[in-house]
Amino acid sequence: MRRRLGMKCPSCQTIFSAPGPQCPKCKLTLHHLDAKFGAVPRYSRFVTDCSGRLSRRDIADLRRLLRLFNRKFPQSRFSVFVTNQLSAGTIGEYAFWLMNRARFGFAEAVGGDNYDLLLAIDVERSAAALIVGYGLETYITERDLERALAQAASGFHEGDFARGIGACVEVMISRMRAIVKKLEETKTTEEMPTTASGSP
Amino acid sequence: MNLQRFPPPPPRPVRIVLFFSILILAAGPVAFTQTQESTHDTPSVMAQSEPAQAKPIPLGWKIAVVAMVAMGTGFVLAFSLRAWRAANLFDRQYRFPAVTVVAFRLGGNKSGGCMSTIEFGGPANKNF
Repeated sequence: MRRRLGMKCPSCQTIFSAPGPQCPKCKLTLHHLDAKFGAVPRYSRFVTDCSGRLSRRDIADLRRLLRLFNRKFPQSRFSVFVTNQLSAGTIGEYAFWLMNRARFGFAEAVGGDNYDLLLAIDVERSAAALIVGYGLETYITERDLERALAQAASGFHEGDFARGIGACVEVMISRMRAIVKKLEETKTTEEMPTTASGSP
Repeated sequence: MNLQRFPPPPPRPVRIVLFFSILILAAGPVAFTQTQESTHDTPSVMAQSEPAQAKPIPLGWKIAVVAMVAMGTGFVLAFSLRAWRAANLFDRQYRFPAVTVVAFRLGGNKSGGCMSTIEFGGPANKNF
């Protein structure tokens, strides 16, 4: 049985058991974050660098890697947003707000159809957040996201953001591939007795 | 039946001449066509003065050509592998099963805020 990602407030980190329109502790909603962050910043497909820390070659290489990710997982799109202009709020709040307000993935991918991932990096405050859409909540555990960020940490710490992002994406590719394979194996195992009993 | 209406057959020498004329006309083109065997050219004075055997290619040249071909093949293979890898030709696509039950929260219709965060300013300080 997979451990479902806990429902946690992106702002105060309070864990809540039942879904609600606002955080039971800090009363956070997406509308509050709209007021905090204002207009959605300009962003590009796959990689957006507002900080200027990534070279053009880095961006091109990362786009290639994220395009490969998208080919492997056609339902999902992995986007990276690097900023240094986060005046208010935390990187968690910003990632949650950006994930819902920007259109990184498919426009129609809402609710359980959203299998997207967003890696938001604040280079000024040295913080990063990896967030997933509703569709991946069932399959990706919190530990998977932790591992991916842990792999990226050394690159981020050394200022080599391209290496860190690449490591994070590679970990997620490997993990998501393993999860899908395991799901398929489980499905095949469940179907086999039915087939065997149905055959004469 | 009146046999007087049909002309009498030509005499024998006329028939022989007719036969030979047809034979000559039919065999004429075959006789004038070129046969497969060509005439041999006489070697020129220049050709006669050249040495019989050509100078062999130096070993260094051969090695250089082989090395260049190997390098070219290597470059082509490297670029092809990169392109193939980018195109995901040798790997399959992975799809997650559809999710039916979604716990919408905090007003987000794409994500409910399931995430992990990290602070990397110090020595890789994690904050989960």
